[in-house]
Amino acid sequence: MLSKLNTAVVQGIQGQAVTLETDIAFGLPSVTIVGLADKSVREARDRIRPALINSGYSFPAYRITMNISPADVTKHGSHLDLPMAIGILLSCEELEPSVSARFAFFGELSLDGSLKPVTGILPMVRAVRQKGIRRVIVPMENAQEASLVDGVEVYGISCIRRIVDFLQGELCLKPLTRDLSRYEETREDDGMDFLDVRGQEAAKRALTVAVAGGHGILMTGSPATGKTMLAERVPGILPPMDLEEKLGLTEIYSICGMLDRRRPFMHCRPFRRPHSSLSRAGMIGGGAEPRPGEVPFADHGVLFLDEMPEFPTATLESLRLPLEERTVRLIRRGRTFEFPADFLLIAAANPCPCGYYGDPDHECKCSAADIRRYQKRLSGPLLSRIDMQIHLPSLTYDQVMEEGRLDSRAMREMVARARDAQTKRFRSTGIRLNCRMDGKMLRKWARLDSDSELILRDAYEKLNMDPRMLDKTVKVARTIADIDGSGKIRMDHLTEALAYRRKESI
Amino acid sequence: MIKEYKKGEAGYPEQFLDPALSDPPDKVYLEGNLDLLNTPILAVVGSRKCSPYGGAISREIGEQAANAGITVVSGLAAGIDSSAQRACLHHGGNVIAVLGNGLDLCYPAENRRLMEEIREQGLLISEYPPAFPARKWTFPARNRLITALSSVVTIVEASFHSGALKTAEFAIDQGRTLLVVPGNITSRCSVGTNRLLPYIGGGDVYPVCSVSDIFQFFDRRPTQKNRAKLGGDEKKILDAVTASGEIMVERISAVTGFSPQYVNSLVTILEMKGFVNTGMGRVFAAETE
Repeated sequence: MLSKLNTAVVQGIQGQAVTLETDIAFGLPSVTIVGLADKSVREARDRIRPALINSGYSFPAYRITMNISPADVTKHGSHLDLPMAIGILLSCEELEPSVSARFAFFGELSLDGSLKPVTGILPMVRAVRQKGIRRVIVPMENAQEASLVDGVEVYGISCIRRIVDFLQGELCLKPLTRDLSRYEETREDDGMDFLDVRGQEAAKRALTVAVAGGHGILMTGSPATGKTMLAERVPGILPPMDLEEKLGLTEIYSICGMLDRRRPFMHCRPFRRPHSSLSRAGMIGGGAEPRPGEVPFADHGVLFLDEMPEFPTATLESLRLPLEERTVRLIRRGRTFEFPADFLLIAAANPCPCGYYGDPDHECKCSAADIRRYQKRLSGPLLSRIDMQIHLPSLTYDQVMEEGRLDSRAMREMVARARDAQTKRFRSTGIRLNCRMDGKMLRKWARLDSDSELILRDAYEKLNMDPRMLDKTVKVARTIADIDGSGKIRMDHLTEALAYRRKESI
Repeated sequence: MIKEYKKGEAGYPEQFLDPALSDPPDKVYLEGNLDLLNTPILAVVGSRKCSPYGGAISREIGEQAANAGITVVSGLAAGIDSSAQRACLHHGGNVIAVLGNGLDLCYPAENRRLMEEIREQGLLISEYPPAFPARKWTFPARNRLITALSSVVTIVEASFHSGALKTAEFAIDQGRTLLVVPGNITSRCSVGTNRLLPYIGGGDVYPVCSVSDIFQFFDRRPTQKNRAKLGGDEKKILDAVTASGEIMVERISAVTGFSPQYVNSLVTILEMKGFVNTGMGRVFAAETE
């Protein structure tokens, strides 16, 4: 006979609810799976058979046909094992069909009939919830993650035998429902504070400005001046994410199996530090079934490119559109997949391959040509999307021993103040941060008074700036004024912004 | 338009007819403002790989030369050469570049924009026909033309093996005034220039103790920068900079007690007013008191 039940698959980073139909009919014993199922799904039949037999059921010696609809989207993932096994049980009337229609099923089967955790639970459960299903059965290890979806009763069950008992009413289980309070207590206390960074007060100030206005920033300086230490602490001064942002991020991490099993919720802003050998696909995402890369992983957080000139040009180039449009778009087989890409770019670079060019205490071993080649890689189109540049000085012993002055709490307050001002200002526009202002908005919200205008004109001529730098400087000045709580851009705001301009290398 | 001038023709630079130049080129190719050949000319040369100090000094020389109406000649190489030329051009000064390749080529490619600016506003000179690529030997050869064109040659930074030392040799051989910018005895970029210091007094060789010294040799004084017009805090910062000659923003902030953002903002103003130069996170005094 025919049975139907609910489950879901992942498309890109979105869940899509699907219906699994199982039909058992007379004929030569066989199992056919249709509905654009990929190899991981077609292999399921060889897992289901021993799993059912080892759990004490018989495997029907009939012609079994399974269809996963809609039939025009590709399906992949081992989580379809369980729905298929349940479908067979339903079709050979081991189970009451009316009960199972209210549930959705997810889980990979082991040959002994136990359930193994799968990836992508959160987006899939969200998808079936939208379809109106309020009860889901998932592997024990995925129960917490599934319970992040509002209005769903989650039953985490460890083996197929217990599922059957539960569905037949012989086993009573208490469902897990959403309880976000368990994630509240340990907010963002990762033990990292800007106070730990010594002797780089000017850099801390610059980073505060960068974070407040979402300005991409390039830090140059010799090794061991604290570039990485500074960047790592940036997520801690960003304002907390709202629930939708957290869930969206958790979905991405869920699909890639990057969630912590015990705390499967991304409540802190991400900090991604990819290695410079990263490929284009690793950076933005890729693959025949598109999977997100480092850029979507850094959504709402920080993407830190240490040793930026060492990255392949193609990898850096791939960041251009995401930086502009805040989204990654991949096209596969005529379908467009979109990944979110709202991140703060922090890049770090040494002044030369050996790192010590211009350092008063170390001799640089690179040739002039080496340095030129290295610095040339720093001048690509990506750099035109970076608003600020600072140089970190190498430190004397006294500076290393000096107590830091600015701490994360004070920086967080400044960022919050500036972001509040921006939220108010951009209420009716599509943007949230100063870095996204276009020419029209700049004229409207970042007016300079006549004195500042003169300074900018002077700077343009005397400091050897190009036209693009003018807009960037004004945007950064707008952010500095926001930190100051000033509606108008004052002269000191502008001159500080000028200090963060992109400089010629030497 | 690149124009070719044969030796003896009208338009051939007079400076190359000076008997001090033992092997004048038979033909030269010029493009740009030929009048610049009749202005007072200062050569600024040095290493391609310069320190932030060398970069700051050459920019300062370029700027002051522009203010004093002196034409800067150099080789358009990376480092000292192009820093001085770029600064001079951007402050409205006159620039001549002598190249080791045809005038339609650019070497190094990073200086293409600067080369085009010089083509429009200054003068490009080469003894090599168009499409002639740069070779190892063309650079020392063009150095003899740089010194021949100028009456004063300033060498800013040179490491032990720098080609700039060859230029110094040409300058002495051709009887030009040679000015040497001393550097830290610990800096590799200044080893070559510091080794020229013993020749001071032996001939027409002088040290540059202050950038404005250079212009005495042209009987000109660059327009003086007026400290009196500076604000109190600006003066404090300038004092901190001149006290050490080379200092980081971080340090200025510690010395003066001002916040880093305030220091940054005032340093920018001082830079625009021409009192300091910045490079690689460091602030340099433009001129000692």
